Amino acid sequence: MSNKGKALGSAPSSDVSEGRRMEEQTREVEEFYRNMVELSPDGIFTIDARGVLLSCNTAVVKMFGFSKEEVVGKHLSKLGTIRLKDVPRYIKLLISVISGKVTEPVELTLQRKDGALRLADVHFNLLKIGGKTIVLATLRDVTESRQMEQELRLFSNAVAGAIDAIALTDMKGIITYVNPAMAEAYGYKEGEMLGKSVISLTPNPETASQMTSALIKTGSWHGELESTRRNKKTFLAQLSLSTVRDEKGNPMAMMGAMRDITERKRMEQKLRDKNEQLEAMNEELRAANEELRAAEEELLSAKEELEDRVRERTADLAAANEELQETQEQLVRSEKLAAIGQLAGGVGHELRNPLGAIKNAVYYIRGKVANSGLGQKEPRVMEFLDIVDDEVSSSNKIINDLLGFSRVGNPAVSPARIKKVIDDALSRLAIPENIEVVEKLDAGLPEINVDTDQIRQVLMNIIVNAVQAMPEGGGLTISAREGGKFLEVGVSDTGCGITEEVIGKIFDPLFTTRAKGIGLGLAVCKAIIERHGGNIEVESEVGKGSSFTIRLPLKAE
Amino acid sequence: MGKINILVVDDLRSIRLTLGGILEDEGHNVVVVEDGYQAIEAVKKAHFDVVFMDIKMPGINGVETFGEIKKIDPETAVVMMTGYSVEDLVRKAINDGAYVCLHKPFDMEKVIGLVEAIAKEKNK
Repeated sequence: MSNKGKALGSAPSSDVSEGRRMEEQTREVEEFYRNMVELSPDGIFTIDARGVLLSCNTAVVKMFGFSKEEVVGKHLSKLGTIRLKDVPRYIKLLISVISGKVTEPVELTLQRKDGALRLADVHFNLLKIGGKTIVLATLRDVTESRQMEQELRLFSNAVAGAIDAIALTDMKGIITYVNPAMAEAYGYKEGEMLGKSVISLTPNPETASQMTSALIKTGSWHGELESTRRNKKTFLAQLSLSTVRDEKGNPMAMMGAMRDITERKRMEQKLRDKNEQLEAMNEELRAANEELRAAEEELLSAKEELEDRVRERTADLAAANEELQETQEQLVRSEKLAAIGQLAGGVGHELRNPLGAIKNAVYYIRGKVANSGLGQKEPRVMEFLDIVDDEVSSSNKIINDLLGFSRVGNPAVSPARIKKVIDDALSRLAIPENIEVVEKLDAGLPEINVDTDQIRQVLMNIIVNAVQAMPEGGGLTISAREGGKFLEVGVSDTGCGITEEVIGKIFDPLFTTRAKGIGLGLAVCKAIIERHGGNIEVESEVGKGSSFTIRLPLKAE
Repeated sequence: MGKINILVVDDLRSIRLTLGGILEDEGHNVVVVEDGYQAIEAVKKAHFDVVFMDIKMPGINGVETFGEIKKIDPETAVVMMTGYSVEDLVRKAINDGAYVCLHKPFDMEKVIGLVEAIAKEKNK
């Protein structure tokens, strides 16, 4: 082939060899170009003016799966490489090509033998060879690349149109691409950001370098980074960074998606604050609730307490009422007694005069009768005069008792030994022989401050009653012992006892079971003992006997 | 035993007659009056060695009468008579110089003895 150029330009030496050499050269050239055409990766084919396929190269055959024999010499429309519906359009196109109107490459949809559609870029060239018009077409199957282009465009548009700000950098962090959202977020025009380092976009270069090293190490980084706008104002960005790898897995670029979360953060903070507020309010509410519950409990327990108190009060009132009634009865009693006392006093005093006169008269008459001898003649006269005198004395005693009741004088106290008072009392009484007297006096009894006359009177009264209760004889026991703050003197008998209906009244004045006499004795005794600051009680069992207990206060230490 | 002049002052007739009668029987001169006024008149007219004076009387009581009598005749021994046990009036009378206070009904033996004692005092 070296002599190719020379062959065309040089003059032949002999006609035949020259001719043969020229034929050979032409053939070589022809073969050269034929090979070139055949071996071209693009599809090359020719069509005549009518639309019949004149030739095509191997690439065309390969592209479409038809054999040369199947398509060469056939009209385009019958090639089977065109969809039936496209035929009219393509014929029109051919006409345009032949008339020289089409100068730009055309995109055609062609059909493979298996029916699959391919997209092809076709260059048309008009050739005039040997007076004939031939269309030379170069065909490139761009199905894949068009698809890829479309995909790429899709992704490109997606990225460009994304609301998220997206940027690409090289492995050193220099920006190679920003989408409009990114540019807008940072306040730049798209082109202005290219070539800038990402580090320049943040006021915290340390964080930025940490970010990039992490990204390089692990292939991704996700976090928040303070970022600087073109106008130097900062905002908080949430970044998601990742490494873009090629098919071999080598990192070829870094991608970052960013969101301005300043507003979000503000909102979050506001929310947090609001939440805190709510929590605080909740706490308050809880506390208030607690208080309420506590108050409720208090109220409940107060109510219970109140009810208890009311119950207590009611009980107290009932008790007080009883006491009041008792006191009232006592008052009525003492009023009665006072009235009786006054009456008694008046009556008693009045009676003394007539008694005095009677006694004087009896004295005189007795004297005269005794001297006159009538006394001896009529002993009953003297006897009866004695009776009169005795009854006057008896009447006087009754008056004394009556007056004694109404005026028990304040006791004239002096220290005394109870044993002496008891013995004194016993010695003044004539106790029948059929009564056994037993003294049970504790040893070492202290002295007591008493009016010995009055106490003796009391003891005598009680002992007389005891004796009277034992007409058939019995036992009389007198005891004395210390009992707390009192000296207890007991007088008990084995007599007939006191019935239940009587025992409550025996200390009442004017109450008596005796047929004669007025019952002042025990009332006076009670008055005397109580004047001493003591008390007197009785226990009795009918048929068994009675027991009186006198308590006299011991000397206060 | 000496004879003395006795005045009995009591509003009760039975007391006047019995007491007066007994004392007269003993041999004394006895005058009886019913009330304090009469007593005062009597003492004005004559001297009495002993006056038995009842305390409770209508009009002026025995103690007041005693007071008047003392003014007229201070030498007279006045014996107060009472049916009462102890009284402010009696205490007053004793303080004022009454001879003694007797409680009715009397033990006449004692009364007669008392009169004799007073008579002896007056050397009669």
